[in-house]
Amino acid sequence: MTVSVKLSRMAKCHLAAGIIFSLALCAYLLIENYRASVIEIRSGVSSIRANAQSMADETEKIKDRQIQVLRALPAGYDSSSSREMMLLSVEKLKTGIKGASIALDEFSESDAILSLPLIVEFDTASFEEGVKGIAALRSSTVPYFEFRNIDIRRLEGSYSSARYKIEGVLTMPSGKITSPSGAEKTL
Amino acid sequence: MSASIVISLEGQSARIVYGAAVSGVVTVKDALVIPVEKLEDFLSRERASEFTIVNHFSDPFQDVISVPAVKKRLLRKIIEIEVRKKSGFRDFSFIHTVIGTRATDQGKRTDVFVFAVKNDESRAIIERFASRNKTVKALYPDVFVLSRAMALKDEDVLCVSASGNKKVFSLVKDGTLQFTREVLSSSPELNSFDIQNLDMTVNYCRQSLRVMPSLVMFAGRLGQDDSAAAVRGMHTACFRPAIASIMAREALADFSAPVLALGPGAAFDISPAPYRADKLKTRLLKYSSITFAAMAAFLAVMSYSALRDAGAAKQGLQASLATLPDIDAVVSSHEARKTEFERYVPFIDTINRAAAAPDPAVVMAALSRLDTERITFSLINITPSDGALRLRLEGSVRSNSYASTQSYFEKFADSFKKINSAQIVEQRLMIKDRNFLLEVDCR
Repeated sequence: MTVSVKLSRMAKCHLAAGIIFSLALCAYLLIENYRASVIEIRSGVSSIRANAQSMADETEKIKDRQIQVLRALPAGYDSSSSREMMLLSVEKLKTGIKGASIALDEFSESDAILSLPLIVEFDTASFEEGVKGIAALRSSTVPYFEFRNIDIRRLEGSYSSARYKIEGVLTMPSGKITSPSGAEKTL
Repeated sequence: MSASIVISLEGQSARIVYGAAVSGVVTVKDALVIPVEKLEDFLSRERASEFTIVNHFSDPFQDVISVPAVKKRLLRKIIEIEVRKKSGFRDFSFIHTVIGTRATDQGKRTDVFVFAVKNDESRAIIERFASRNKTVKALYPDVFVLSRAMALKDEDVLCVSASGNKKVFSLVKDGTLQFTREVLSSSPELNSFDIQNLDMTVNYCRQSLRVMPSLVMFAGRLGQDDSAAAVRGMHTACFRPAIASIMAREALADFSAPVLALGPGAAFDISPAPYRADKLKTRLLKYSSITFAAMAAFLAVMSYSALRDAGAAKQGLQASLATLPDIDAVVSSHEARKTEFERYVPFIDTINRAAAAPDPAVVMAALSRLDTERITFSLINITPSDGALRLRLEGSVRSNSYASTQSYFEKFADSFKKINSAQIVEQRLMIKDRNFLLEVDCR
């Protein structure tokens, strides 16, 4: 076999090797691309799963907050209107603070908040009783009594008795809320 | 160390040497002599594919020619033209060695020793090997192989060797062949006729080449007998190459040319240029093909690995998709809950405001811890002010003396320090009527 024949044969071998190499390279690039895509999709699915779980957890947290809010509501909230609830609170104050006189103003509503200005007055010789009376006003969060002024003035001719005059506004949201779906209100 | 096979074609016989040369040390594993007509049979049996050939060319053109001094890259072309003109060869290959440059009337000229052979003779040899699917690695003229071994520092050596029925005289100066001539001889040993020829060659070197050989070196078979003793009036030596072999040194005496050809000698390859170019291309294509094949194999392994990884990833993806929750249901549930929660926001604000507001009952309770000795309150007023409670206390100090009144009041005012969140904003004692006013911010 002459060198030129060998050269011709080697050129054919080289061409074949080149084609095989090109095919192998193309195949590798395709497979590698496919692999990278599958891994990327899997990573995306994991991310979606994590986000879905996070969203479900967030939904549960919202539900828990709703339940906490409902727990803060007074008894009879479901069956009474907001105004009734406020007046019930006033009645409760009247019985809670011995000898208290309560002067009510008119209801007003602004930004979905219902307000009822009132003045509570009572006389007592005991400082402790007075503190209890003020604490009784703060005992409820819904409706919430917002103090405007507390005036404790010693009664004329008395050394220990004082008149407590407490001005404030009873406020609560005018809208009604109900138990969240899938939750039971516990009071 | 890869073994090489050198075949020296010397007249009717072919001397074959198996060996290698590493770092100047020649190792011979085997040597044999076969008739030239049996060469094809030998090649058919031999498994090696490449052979180095040493040949004694029958009709070479060898001469010292003078050419214009030109740049090295142009020199070979000029020599080729000159050889073509002088030898009458049409298709030939040649080896040249530059003897020196000298100034003449025609300008600077370079003297060059040229050894040229017809490519037909080279091709005939190569074809004998090609017909048995063998490749000629290199084709060396025997005279160059021998002269290379004669290169001695500071010595101008006249090498004398025997080839068939001829004696070959070669002048080696500074490691390069300067001149060579062949003369017919009546015997293989050195005889008086050969000695006459030797003297004439020395004279020629002295007169024409202006080189006086300082040493006459006998190579091959002539180096083994007492040929050197026959020469008078000149320094003589016998060339015996350092060979590592299990064979007897005397047995290798006739193998000087093939043994010396085991060493490096690409510069003396006189095979036709197209043949060498084809060999180079073939070798390049071979290595390139091997590289492609190796890379293709590597890529195949990588592809398999990537495919396996992709398969595992796809299985994981399918499993992940199968257990993926209903996204639409989760999102719609979340949106519904958020919408529902918006109605709760005012309640949460109310509850938060209630929790954040300062408690007047706490302030009242703190008053009981104050030092109120001789203090009588007439008014306690509490009003909210910037997230705090402003406490206004009015009253009187029950004391007979002014000093004690001041003292009791100060004690009372100092006792506010017990309440961390309290800060006195204004304190006033009207000493005349013993009434006081105290304003404190409680946070």
